[in-house]
Amino acid sequence: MSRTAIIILVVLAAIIAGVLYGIREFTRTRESTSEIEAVAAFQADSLAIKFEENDSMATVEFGGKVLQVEGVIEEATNDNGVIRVRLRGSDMSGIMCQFEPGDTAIANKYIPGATVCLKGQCNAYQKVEMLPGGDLLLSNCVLTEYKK
Amino acid sequence: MKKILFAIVLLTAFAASGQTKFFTKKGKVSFDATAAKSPEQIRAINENAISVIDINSGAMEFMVSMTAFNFEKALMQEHFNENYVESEKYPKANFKGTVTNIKEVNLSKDGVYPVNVKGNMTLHGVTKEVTATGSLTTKGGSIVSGKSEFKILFSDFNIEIPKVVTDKLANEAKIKVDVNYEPVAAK
Repeated sequence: MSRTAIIILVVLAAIIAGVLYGIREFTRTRESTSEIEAVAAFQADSLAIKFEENDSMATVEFGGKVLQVEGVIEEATNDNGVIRVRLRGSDMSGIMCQFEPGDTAIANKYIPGATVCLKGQCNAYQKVEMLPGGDLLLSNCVLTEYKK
Repeated sequence: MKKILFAIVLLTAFAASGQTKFFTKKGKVSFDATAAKSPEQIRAINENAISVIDINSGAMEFMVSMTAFNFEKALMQEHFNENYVESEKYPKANFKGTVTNIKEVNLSKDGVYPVNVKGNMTLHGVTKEVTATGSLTTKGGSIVSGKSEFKILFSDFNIEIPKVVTDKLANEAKIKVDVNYEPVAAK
């Protein structure tokens, strides 16, 4: 094979690889939280207090990252397939967990008073001035352990 | 007997005052920033907005986590958070304002009331006054829902749109707000 043919083949291979990579990136959907390892594990009350005390610093440290949290369910809701569980945190704050879509089959497990361990993507500490307290929002949560 | 009556009056007053605020932690805020000739939709939804409204004063507040906006494609979501709204630096957006015609909303008469809202919106670290029209729905003595649609210009909030994507991404976003409220006293 001539040198020119080899160069053409290499360039073609690079173009094809680039196009395939582009298509894969363009059509990529969000990775499931179950596939992502948590960067840290907390009890719900200590995580709530961490954000309550200094949410700016805590958001810089954990924002966008996957956290594992263990806590007691205070409230569980299913709004047209959107499952949310609020874990009891401190006196003023809780951990609001929105589950990944399609988790409705195990929604009945989320009973107030039950202890669960879950993973979710850390967003911001959500509070408004007109109401006391706030919630740390975890999204795309998955259940890792149902304790009781 | 007097003490019991006093306690009842006090509790009733407390309950009544609690009913003046209505809130949600599950508000839907979506936006569409698709350019006219774009082959793909640039839109996202956040179903975890916090909102509270006070029927007495008309005061209203919204707060959303920027990273909780869900896009259809992961790449779009990454670009949104990293390149445009810089969620790491500015993780929240909020609105603090007033329903200027709150006196026209009659809690004792079920219905859909058109409302005007005026206040300050903070996004990407920039605070700007915005006005919007919308509606509040009342039922059984409560505000049960609120809806609004309005537009914002990205340039008003120092969000730069690179020229290379102007054929896909519009220079403004149509914001849609859809929330179901419940009385604060119920919590």
